[in-house]
Amino acid sequence: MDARMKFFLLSEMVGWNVTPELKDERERLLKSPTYQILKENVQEAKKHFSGRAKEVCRSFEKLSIDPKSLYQSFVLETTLDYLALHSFPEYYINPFAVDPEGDCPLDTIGELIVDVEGKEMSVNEIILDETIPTPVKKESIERKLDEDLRDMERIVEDSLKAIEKNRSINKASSLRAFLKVMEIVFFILAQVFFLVLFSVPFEIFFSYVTHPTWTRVMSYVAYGYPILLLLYDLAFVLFHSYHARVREPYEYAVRFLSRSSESVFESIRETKENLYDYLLGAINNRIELKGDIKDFSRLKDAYVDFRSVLLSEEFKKRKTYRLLRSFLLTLSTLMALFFLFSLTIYLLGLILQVAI
Amino acid sequence: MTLSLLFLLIAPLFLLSSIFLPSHRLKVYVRSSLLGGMAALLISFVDIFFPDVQIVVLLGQPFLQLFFFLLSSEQTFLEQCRIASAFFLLLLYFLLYLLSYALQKLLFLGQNMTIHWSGKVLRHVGYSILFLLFTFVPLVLFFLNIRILLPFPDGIFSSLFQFFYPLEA
Amino acid sequence: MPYLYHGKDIKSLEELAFLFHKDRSFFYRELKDGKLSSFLEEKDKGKADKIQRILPLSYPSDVFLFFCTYILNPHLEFIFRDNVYKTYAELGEKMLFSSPNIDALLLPIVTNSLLSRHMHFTGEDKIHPESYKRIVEIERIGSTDHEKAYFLLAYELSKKTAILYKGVEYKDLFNLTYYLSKSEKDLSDLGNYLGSSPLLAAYKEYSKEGKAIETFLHLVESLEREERALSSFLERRRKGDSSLL
Repeated sequence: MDARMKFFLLSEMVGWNVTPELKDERERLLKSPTYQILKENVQEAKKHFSGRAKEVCRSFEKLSIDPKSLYQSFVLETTLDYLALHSFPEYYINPFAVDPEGDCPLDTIGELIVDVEGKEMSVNEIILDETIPTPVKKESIERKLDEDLRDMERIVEDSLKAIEKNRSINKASSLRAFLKVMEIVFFILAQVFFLVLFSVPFEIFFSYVTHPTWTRVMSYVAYGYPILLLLYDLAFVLFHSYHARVREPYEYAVRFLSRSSESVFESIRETKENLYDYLLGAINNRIELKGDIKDFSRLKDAYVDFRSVLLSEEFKKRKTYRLLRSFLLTLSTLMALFFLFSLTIYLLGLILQVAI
Repeated sequence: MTLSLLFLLIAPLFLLSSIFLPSHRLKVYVRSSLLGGMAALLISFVDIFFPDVQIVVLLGQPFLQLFFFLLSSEQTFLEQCRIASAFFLLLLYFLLYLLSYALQKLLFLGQNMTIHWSGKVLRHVGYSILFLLFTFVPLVLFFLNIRILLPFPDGIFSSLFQFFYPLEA
Repeated sequence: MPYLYHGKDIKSLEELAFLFHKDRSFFYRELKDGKLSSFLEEKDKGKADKIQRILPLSYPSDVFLFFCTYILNPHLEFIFRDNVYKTYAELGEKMLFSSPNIDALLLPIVTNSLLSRHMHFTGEDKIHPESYKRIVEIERIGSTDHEKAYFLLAYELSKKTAILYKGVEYKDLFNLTYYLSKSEKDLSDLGNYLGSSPLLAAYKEYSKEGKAIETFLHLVESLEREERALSSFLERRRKGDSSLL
């Protein structure tokens, strides 16, 4: 902030009109290094689940860089400085909520920032500092871990709410349920009809199987139906296998959380105690931490994949999913039409005992 | 179209399912098809290696009336019993499958599949083999039993089919 | 026996006390070297003992003389260095005269809590307890922020509501900012000064524009704090601090 603006701010506060000084403020703020840092960091923060990361992203989305007064400009710039600082992973990474399979911008818990009696220090700095009394170090670390624990518990609670929400949507959408049942019924019907076509003794039809006559519709039924059925079965199998595969972590989470959510909370609390003991050991022995950022993650722990629960609808955006779904929809439609056509031809032929 | 070709075309569907389905789902399907599949395999085993027991007659005879529309006077009694028993087994298979599936839906939890351990792939391969054993194999046996009805010739695996269920000329 | 000063007999302690501010360095030496001790003991042993007790303490000379003055004569007006202030308001105005700068010669009044001591010596603390309490509070602020305490004291004593800047009195900040925008060349320096000005911080408590000043100071302080935090963090990151990278 240009120091001249402080003078103009005072002038504005005591009643002067300083509008001419505002004309370049918006552009200055948007082009400022602080804003650029914030904009870049938010892209990384979006990948993380911690409450602080979400808060930074939310605050960034809500920012409106269009100050109408110097007062607003000052407030905005203060907010930008604050957000830019807290958009660095050292501030928002929660060691309990790190994705153990994803890339983490930090290497160690030692890089995380902790408030020690009003001064911000990294965990490693706290460990190696010789002037801060050990009880103060312990108290600061414990306070930070309590915040992270509450944050992780919030993630679990959000997962439970997401599951409840999905359940009520599914229950409420009877049309969706109906269509799902119809899809399975049709799949079975299509297979059964194939069996009927080739097992029920209907000599006229069988003659077209062994000696097809392409001027007769029944030949197309005899050959077309199995071919189309095979393609439809392939699309069905591929789509539903893929769907089951990407959805399984979520389905597992739903099953697990609906039965034993309490044990998840207990397990997270236990991890917090383990991490506290680990950090205490490092403090007492002055050991700098390295390479341990994922060691205490509970995001994809032995019980449930919270990430998949919270992103349960994301897989529908994937290219493969959309491709397979289109493939299945196309073939289902074709199959349905050909099924009706074949059924009509077959029944007519069977009832009237004529070659069609 | 031959029966052999039909089996060759259907096999990839089961194979793809066993490869792409997640472990949990595969396990559920294997468990669901366990009873029906084992029943089909056991009956086929008895039928092939203990023909004196005439198990197809024991199973098929009570249901001849039920499947009358599939039978004709040109078929021998044994053939008719074989067809009836095959369809009966098919229905039984689906019934047991549905029952078992419903139970598992209520009780099955499973383990977190995102935990990485070295035996995961091996276990998945094992379940895939079982999946094929309890689904594809019974399907093949079913078609072999009713192939007298089908308008398809046996094809390249004719001699193998004859080993399982010889058809009189 | 009287005490002889420049050919004149000083017969009483009260008369002596009033002379201290007129020849400070002489009387400081006289007291420190004990040349006045026999005269003081003869006139009032109690007061002489009190002065003896503060002799070894390391007060600056003006402060030491101040205490000696009021030990010997607690009824005098406020005297500091060579100035006699008939009223506290006069002292306040003198303190404001150098605004926006601090008069270094008067600063010891704040840093050594001399005003509350004078009020105590003269009994003013019992006559005006509320004022005394306020003075003590300001002096307490002086232990951490002596510049702000200086101006607080100046405004408290002078009872002024105008702002003094470089010898000129302005009715309010509205007028001051207008004048400054026309006359000052370097508004950056001015902006920086005003953002952390102890004068403004004190003035806000006596001005009708207090709320606006408070908001201004708060905004500037917040912005500077966040800017410092961010640049300090970036600097550590750039240096590749092993605990951060």
